[in-house]
Amino acid sequence: MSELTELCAELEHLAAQLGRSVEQLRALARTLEREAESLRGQVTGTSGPVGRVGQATVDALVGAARASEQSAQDLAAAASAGLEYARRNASGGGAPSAGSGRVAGAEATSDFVDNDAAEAAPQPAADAAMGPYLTFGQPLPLDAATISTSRSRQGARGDCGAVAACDGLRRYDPGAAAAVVTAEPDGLYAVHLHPAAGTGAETIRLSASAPERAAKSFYPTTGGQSADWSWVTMVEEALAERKGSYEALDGLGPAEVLTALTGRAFGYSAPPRLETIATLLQRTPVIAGSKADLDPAPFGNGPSKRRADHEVIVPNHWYSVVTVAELVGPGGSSYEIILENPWGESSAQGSAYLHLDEATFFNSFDVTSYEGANGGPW
Amino acid sequence: MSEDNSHVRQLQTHLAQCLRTVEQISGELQALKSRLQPVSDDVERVIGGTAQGTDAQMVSSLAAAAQALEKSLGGCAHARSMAERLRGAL
Repeated sequence: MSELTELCAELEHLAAQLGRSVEQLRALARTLEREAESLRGQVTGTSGPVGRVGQATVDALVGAARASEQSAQDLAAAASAGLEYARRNASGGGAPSAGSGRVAGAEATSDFVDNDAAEAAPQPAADAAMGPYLTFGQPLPLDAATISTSRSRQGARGDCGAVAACDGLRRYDPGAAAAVVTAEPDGLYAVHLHPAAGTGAETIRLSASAPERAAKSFYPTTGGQSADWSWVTMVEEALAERKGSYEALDGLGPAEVLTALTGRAFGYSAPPRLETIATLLQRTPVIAGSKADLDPAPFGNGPSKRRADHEVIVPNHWYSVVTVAELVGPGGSSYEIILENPWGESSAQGSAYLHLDEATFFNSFDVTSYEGANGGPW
Repeated sequence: MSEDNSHVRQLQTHLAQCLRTVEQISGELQALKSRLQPVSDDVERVIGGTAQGTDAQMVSSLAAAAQALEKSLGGCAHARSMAERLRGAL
């Protein structure tokens, strides 16, 4: 591998790594600014040294928050410029992509034929990791009932945030998920994405095809044994179309995707208590991000310990929250959170589901994404 | 508890929360710095001297991000020091 190719791979990897960390930094910066303003309310009107030092402290806290927000912006710009450079210079598209949440190619189960209609609608550039475009052998099942019982399987890109967001929405509101992708009379598919919270949806029309290793779904009819094209395939393709390529989806955060899918304001926060997440799930999908420096080893005590042989927490990875259960025992009640891995079931990575007690969850996850109260603000 | 004591207690609680968030931000900034630095060094070594146009902009944006990180770390250190002073004054 040439030095330039290695550099391109490094830049790609950096962009994938920075994606979620930058979002986390931005969320923390906003939290700090809110906390500092709250502290200002406390020190305003306080006389003497406490008043003077208090005002200066608030100013320093706000300054640190704004500098951190600026850092997040500059890092995002640098990551984007690096990715763009890698795309221009990687030899033959062969640079390895090393984003988080990557799974080896899902096997295709439809009959594929060449399709002239593929020329009639835009297609985002695929890459070596995604494989060639293949045409769907049959219409996609887009009804809410089928979507609600399906389960996503991330493809070859590091877009666990996008796929986990789809999982979160189809579980919380299958009807809303079903409304995102519609079949057109001319054989194309229309994907309706909101450019920002509070805006109307824009429609992206796509042909009935996708790269071989795109995101797919498991359906109950196949016994969960193989993944096939689905609404998630089309959402991923539309996001790639909007971003300019599939590569640009690496590290994409779930809040951006859920906002695009629903038009509502999603953001990030440090993980709340499981009891709070249980309440949140009644009004919003919740997605949780694991720590980047996590050791993907057996984990946990209590409920987690019992399942540790079969469950692995993937570092720097987004999971959708399935539910939070209250467990009542002789020592009082405790909570268990169940999370779904967008990779689906994998013999190498164990069960698609994690069952974690509160301590293990806090030790392993450092960010959550959900809709702000009363539609925001974040 | 008197009203004054209650006010001080509230201030201490708010301050402790701010300090925790500052620590979290500092940790995040350090982690980002350790990820950015080696890549930024390699970019400088491989194309830094010869980059032009958009390539040069990419090199500059990495440098700007590194600078912004340093500034934020400095801001956090200052905020932490001020918060400690306030805690001492309470």
